[in-house]
Amino acid sequence: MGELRSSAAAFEQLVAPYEKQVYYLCLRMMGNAHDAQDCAQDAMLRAFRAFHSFRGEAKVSTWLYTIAHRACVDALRARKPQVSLNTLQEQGWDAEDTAPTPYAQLEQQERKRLLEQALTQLNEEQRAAIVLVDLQGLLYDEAAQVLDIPVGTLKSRIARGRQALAQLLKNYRELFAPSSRPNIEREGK
Amino acid sequence: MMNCTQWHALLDAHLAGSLTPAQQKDFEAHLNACDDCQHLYTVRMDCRMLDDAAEVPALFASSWRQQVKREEEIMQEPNQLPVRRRKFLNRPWLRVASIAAALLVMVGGSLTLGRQLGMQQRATDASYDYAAGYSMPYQEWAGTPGLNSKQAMASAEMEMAADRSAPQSVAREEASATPRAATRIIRTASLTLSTRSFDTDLAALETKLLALGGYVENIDLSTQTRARRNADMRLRVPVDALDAFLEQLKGMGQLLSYNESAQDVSEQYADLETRLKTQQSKMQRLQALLEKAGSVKDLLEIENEVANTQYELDSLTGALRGYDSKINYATLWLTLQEETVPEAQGQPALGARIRAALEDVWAATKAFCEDAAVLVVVLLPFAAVLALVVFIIRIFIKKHGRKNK
Repeated sequence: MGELRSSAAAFEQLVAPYEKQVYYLCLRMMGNAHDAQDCAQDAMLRAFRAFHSFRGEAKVSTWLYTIAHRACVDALRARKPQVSLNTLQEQGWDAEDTAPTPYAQLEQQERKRLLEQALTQLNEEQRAAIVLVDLQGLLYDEAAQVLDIPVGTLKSRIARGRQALAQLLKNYRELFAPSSRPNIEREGK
Repeated sequence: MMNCTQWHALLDAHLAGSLTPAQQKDFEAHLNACDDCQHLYTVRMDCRMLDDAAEVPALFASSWRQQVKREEEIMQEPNQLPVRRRKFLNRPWLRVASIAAALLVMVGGSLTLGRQLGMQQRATDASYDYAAGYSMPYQEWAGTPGLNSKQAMASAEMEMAADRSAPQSVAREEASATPRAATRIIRTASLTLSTRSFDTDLAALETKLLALGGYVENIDLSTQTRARRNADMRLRVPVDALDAFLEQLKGMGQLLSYNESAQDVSEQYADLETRLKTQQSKMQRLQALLEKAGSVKDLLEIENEVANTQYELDSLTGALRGYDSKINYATLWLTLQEETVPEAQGQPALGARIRAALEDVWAATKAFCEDAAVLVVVLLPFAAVLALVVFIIRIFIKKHGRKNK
């Protein structure tokens, strides 16, 4: 049982590099910081409980993502009927921040806010796919493994999710226009 | 010129940088020409940057580590019983044995019950040990396997039934899984002891309790049938001394039942503490404001707020103290029963004991069958009425159905 004794430390060492990803997956899935925190914590605890059976067949990140995603799905299912007050607040229902901000920064923030909001409007499946691939940069086969679906299904979810996002942000097209952005650069993946 | 669908199909390859130069040219040509695709492209690029600069909240970073440590503490007392039990139930012969054991317990139970109700005259006290689940010594409840030689007889099955299927074994698991060192845990235990020297034991118990720094919160003495006395007590024991006290109780009499539970209130406690701190700092700010207050209206308003905050502070402090008391002093529900001394002193011969036991079982089985027969007869009139009602309803439905057709 000596191994067990040090397992919390071992677990922490293994998992710490991915805590950010876990948190942001939960944040994007849940849509507000409070729920995200609960959910991410739940995910970490679940991971720790399953730690002894983790043999390293999968990448640590994939394994963690799978657990975190499941925690999110469970939490979303549990809260389904009501919308968290935090979600409303974070969607812009709370008092406006009137502090003066340079225009560019304001625009960037606004774009971020709109995008976050649009993400919460997607359905659960598309959101998970988009968050994993487009936000967190997982490869298709990794994301498919996390979500436990075939790659083909994942691809179609992503394609539909991207279009839905673009559709949701249609009214803010000027804000997202390429002219207001740095050059379109290619992304190394 | 490609269309939007074709463009979509190339998007991922483009992002991965795996397009051929010709494809890349076409891709960019469409991107520059098509507003919709341009918009989608920008949104997609924004997605990638959304969480790049973001930081992990410090609260999350610290709290999951804490939780994992706490979880480890709980896991550190290894508990392999559930695993063993699953294997156990998978073996067919053991399943049969369990059923047999359950039947035995049923018969034995009704037998004991029958005797307690005074329905059967007991000639000897031989079959007392039959109710193995009843007179299990403390060691077994506490988990050390060690069979009392008296019980080794009649029933390996009996023991299994008591050991595996009795709810008490669950309680035992819980108890052993409880981390002794963890903070903010409310411990509660309840046990029933049976003793032949009621008065001495009761006095000794109180002395021991006082010596350990505990106190009696409530005691309720009563006399039951056959002049048996009963003391129901609620004791508060300093949590560090609980195990020592329980250990001492072991020697006192026979343990009839034991149950222990631990409730982790760390989170609630920490929550209360945080709220208390918030209210305290609010109070300080209010008092600073009070000194600066210019108009009477302001003054009144602030004082009103001070009163509210004070109320909040008091209730939070009260709640914390309540928790402290519960955490520092474990609650022990103790029932001390006086045991009537059996008249037959010496142990009768094995043959006589078996015969007596068989007689008991036979009597119990007979009583059971008789009861079943009585039940059937008693239920008969009701069954008749029920049958009549069903009959009438069916006729009604049939008629009704025909009318509708």
